[in-house]
Amino acid sequence: MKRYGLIALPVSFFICLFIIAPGRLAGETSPVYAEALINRAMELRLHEDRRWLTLVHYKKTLRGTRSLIDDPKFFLSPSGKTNPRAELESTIRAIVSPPREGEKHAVCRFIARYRWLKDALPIDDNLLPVKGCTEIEDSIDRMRPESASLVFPASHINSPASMFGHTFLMIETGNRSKLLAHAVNYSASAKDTFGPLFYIKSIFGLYPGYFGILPYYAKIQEYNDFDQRDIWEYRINFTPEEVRRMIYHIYELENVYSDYFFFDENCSYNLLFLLDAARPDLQLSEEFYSPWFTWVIPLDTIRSIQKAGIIGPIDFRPSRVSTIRHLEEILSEPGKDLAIEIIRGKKGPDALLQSPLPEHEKVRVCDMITEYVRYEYSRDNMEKKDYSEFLINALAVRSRLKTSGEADYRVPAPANPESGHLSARIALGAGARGNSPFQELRVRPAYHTIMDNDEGYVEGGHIVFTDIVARFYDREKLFQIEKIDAIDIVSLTPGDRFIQSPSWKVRTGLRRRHFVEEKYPLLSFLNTGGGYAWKLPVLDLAYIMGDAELQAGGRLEHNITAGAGVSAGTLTKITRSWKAHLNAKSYYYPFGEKQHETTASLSQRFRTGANSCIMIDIGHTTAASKNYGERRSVNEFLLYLNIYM
Amino acid sequence: MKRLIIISTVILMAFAMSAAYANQSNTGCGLGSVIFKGKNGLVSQVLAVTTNATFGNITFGITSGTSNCQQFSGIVSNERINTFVAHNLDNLAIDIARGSGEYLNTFAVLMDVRETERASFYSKLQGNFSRIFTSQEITYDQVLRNIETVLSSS
Repeated sequence: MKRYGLIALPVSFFICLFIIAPGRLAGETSPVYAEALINRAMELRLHEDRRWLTLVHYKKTLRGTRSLIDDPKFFLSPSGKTNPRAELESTIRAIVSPPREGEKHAVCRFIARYRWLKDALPIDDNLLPVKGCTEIEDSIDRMRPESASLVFPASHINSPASMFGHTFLMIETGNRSKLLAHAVNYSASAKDTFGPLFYIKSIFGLYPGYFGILPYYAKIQEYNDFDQRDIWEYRINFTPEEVRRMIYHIYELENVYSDYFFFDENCSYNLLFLLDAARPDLQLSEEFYSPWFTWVIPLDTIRSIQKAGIIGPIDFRPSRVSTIRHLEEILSEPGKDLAIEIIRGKKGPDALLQSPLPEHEKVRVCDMITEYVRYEYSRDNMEKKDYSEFLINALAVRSRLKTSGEADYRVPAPANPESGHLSARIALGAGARGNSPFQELRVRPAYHTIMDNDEGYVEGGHIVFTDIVARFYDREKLFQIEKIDAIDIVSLTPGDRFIQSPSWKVRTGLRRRHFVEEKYPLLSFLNTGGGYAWKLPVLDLAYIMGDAELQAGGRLEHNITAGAGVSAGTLTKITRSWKAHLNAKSYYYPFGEKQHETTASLSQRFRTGANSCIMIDIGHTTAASKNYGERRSVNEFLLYLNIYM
Repeated sequence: MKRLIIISTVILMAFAMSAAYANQSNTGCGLGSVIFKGKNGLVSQVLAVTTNATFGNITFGITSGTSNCQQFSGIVSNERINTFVAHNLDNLAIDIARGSGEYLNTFAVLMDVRETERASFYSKLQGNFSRIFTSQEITYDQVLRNIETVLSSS
């Protein structure tokens, strides 16, 4: 009874409890003990405690406090979703209540809540009909969780959704093999097989999101081997106790859904609750929460976690494509030639054994052809029969190249993704269009263009959400929106002897039309293109694409114009901080208002810091609009300073 | 603005992506079977098997991943080894041929090979690659049987 004294129960309760205590085993004291605990909880104001708010995912919304969990079975009180206090009372009652046949008891069902209350109140297990959840405790003991890492599959430039990124957790256990670690992943549970429908629904929160657990090797297959995305592992310096607390909470979330929102309540955001459950002081889910529309960029959550100072060692796991590209760099020319001959089937893998190449070079060639067929097979470019025949022959050769132990090469890790520039960009600039000087303000919430500093980003990748450009023309005293790129994506993937991948772009938004009228009407447009890119000496990278464009707006003849053309350019890194993009394009618009437009431009970027740079753009445009009428041209010059934040 | 973002994103996504939700067909228990073909490309068999597994009902993540395959029961058998080898056969084959690698290490962990004996374990498997992976049609249970034979003949 000593513990009751400690928690200073009101005297009346003390007596009550004392008198009825002998009947406890018959289950009659439970309600009394529950009321005592509830009173104590209210005294301590535990329903306002951040641990409680974290465990039930409560947030202050525009309509009062609400839990972000949408599954009714996550709440014990009918008003639990919106009432932290009622939910806490119901939780305490459920913990103290006797077990019921065929129903999971609250100490197991809500083990994290129970474990927290046990310490916070505290609860005396001896007075509980169900004394803790041995089932879960035992299974965690067998699992031996030791550490947790946040895993970030870096973006793959040929897939726009991947550029937004993804994060999941990896829990390593006592067996010390990462492959066998548990990957804890939050994702939308979607049965729709029709792509566009999937995106619409996931943006508007029409799918339930669930936590799922897979062996980590399955996630490696998914990201490294299929999606060709490098994987970054950020060890979080949680103690084993903290990891255990996190696992308690994962158990609570088993089969519990929250509506999945692609932009804010997404994979990365929901993981933050797990981290907060492990260490309540972090309050990471609070940092990223806004009752208004917002977006949670997975990479930004990593930055926050880094800022919180809880990141330990960082590991890099290259994708198959990264491995192939690296082998390409270190292979000798004769080695590459032999690899190509074997890949094309002109020679069998045994040709390696007779080749005059040095032994370590043979190893590299053999690894190259192995990685290559696996890449081809994963892209559905090879029959299973041909693949397994090639693989087993190549590996038989490999096993005879006696270089036991580790390989003599290692794919170098590029700059860490979180070390790259921040996601949002603001720019101030000045320039002139023809003879009209102007000042310019640009705001872009996300994410990265080919002209921004590349470090930490995939080179040749470009993804922009809502780049808004406003200008003030001095002479005309005209302040106006110059353009809005709602979505702008470019993927320049240089092809080479081993990997050929198309380059493409999509851009849509609003843009001013110049030349025709003084008022420059705002038009909406959709532009897309596909083509090819190469690596070149000196120029670095060159591309050529076939483009199509549609413009619509009231000031156009027939309200619309549509056409096609060609664009080409070079993208050159002159020094680490100086980059130049030379571009030319020419479009004919035979549909709707007939016009023709040709543009040449040179953009240059000078890096001035990790989160700032100066850009200088010059351009020349010639256009003949209104049924290929009068040809006019204009030059534009613009200098601006970019700040990333 | 929010609507504009959403609408244009939808247009874009519809435009630029095709979701890789494939018709599922199991292609066997041998090399290349972790991957299987669907209408729109390739999907990992492992991923198709489980999405909502939890700590509670898993050996380590997978319950039914090997259900279509023959289970090997011999000295080197237990559920975890069977599952791991079935799901990682290609990667394990590569590591055995190379005589090193993460998949081989994990295999040794599951086989309870002591740290001090790992180097000779690895080189023994590497030296006998063609006795383990005897044909391109080999299934993972045969691989395990062959590994057992190789290990017991010293």
